[in-house]
Amino acid sequence: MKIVAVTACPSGVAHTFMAKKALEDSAKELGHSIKVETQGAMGIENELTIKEINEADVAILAIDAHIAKMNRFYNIPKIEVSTKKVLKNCKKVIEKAESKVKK
Amino acid sequence: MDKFKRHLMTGVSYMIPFVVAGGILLSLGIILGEEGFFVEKLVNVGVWSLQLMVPAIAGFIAYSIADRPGLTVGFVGGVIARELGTGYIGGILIGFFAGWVVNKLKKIPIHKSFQIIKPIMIIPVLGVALTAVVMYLMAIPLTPAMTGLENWLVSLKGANLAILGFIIGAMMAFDMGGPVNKVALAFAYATLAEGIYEPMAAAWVGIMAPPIGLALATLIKPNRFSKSERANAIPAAFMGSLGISEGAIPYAVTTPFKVIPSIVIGTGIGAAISLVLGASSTIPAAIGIWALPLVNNPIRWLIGFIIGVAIIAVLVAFLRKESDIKKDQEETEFNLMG
Repeated sequence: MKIVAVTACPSGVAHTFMAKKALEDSAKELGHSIKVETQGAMGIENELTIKEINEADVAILAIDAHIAKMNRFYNIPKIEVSTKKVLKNCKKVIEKAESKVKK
Repeated sequence: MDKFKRHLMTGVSYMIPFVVAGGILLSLGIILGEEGFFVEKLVNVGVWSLQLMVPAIAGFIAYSIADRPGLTVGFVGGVIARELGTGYIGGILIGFFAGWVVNKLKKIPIHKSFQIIKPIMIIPVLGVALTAVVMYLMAIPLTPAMTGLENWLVSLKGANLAILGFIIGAMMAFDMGGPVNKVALAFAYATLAEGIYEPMAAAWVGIMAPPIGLALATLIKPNRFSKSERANAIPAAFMGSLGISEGAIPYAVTTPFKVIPSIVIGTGIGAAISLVLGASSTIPAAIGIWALPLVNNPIRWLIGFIIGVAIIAVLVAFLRKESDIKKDQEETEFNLMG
């Protein structure tokens, strides 16, 4: 399964990047490919291209604050969670994303 | 409710850099003596930057709710909130109103060929006008309330100041970056906007004492903490010193009834002592310990802080038992430094 993800937290220095790391680790463990864009204090980094988003099966938005360029995700199945949830139990979040794809 | 929180957090996240820039430049100016051409400019720039915090939070709350068209309406609403003396609280309320009203204005039916005037004319003009009316109405009860709060805070001395410090410190420590912590921090920002700097000094203790105190506890009694908890100590203390208290959470997850009361008591007492000794801060607590020289009365602040850290470390180290290690769960496994 191909996953794209965006992480963002209010201060944009800690949770944003902790959640990115957690998503990448768990996705690897479960055998999925993933690209994670961060929208932290430095703005958008590791930006997802439209092509990457269209090719992905599902998007995971781990966000605590408003994110830019939200309209890129209109056409693909997506789940929205808090960064805290990703840090507590990332596998569960990815499994939830999987179930969204199967439907 | 979740949406509400997200909008507020967006506003706060865009506001923080204004406060950081203004707070640091202002305090540099004050330290250098407020006189002379250069220093005077420094103080001015600091104050101007700080004054943008109310418009910024209002503007970006509205941006979060209504996207791009919300920004202008929210910003102007925030300037009105500031000029009418309703401060930060007024800014937050009007930001929400501005976002809501812009979303309503977006839905006005309009003939296709005139569509273009909606974003460039209707939304900014009507949005700002309506927001201004509402802000003037809100200021009727809000301005006297804010002035009263301000006068009350300025009049606090001695024991009352200690109670204020204890409450802010305790709230900041209670959920380590959660909603209660944010309420206390919002209060410290609000008073900062009014030129009252004591609550922010208490918030400094509240952000940094829990993770550093807990890290110290793992050094005092290493056998009472699990391997991952000991490994987390240094990153938690490091992040704590940079103004991020979430590093304390893993310890509170395993043994909440031992850790949370300890950090609440230790932080509360530490913050109370700092304030009574005369510490105050123009700089937001989120910056971290390296900005300590810019706090007013840094040594006195440090005395309270060290006492707070010591109380936390000793309480936790002695309340924890070796049997607590077994409860170590998956949740503690994430390491802050990745």
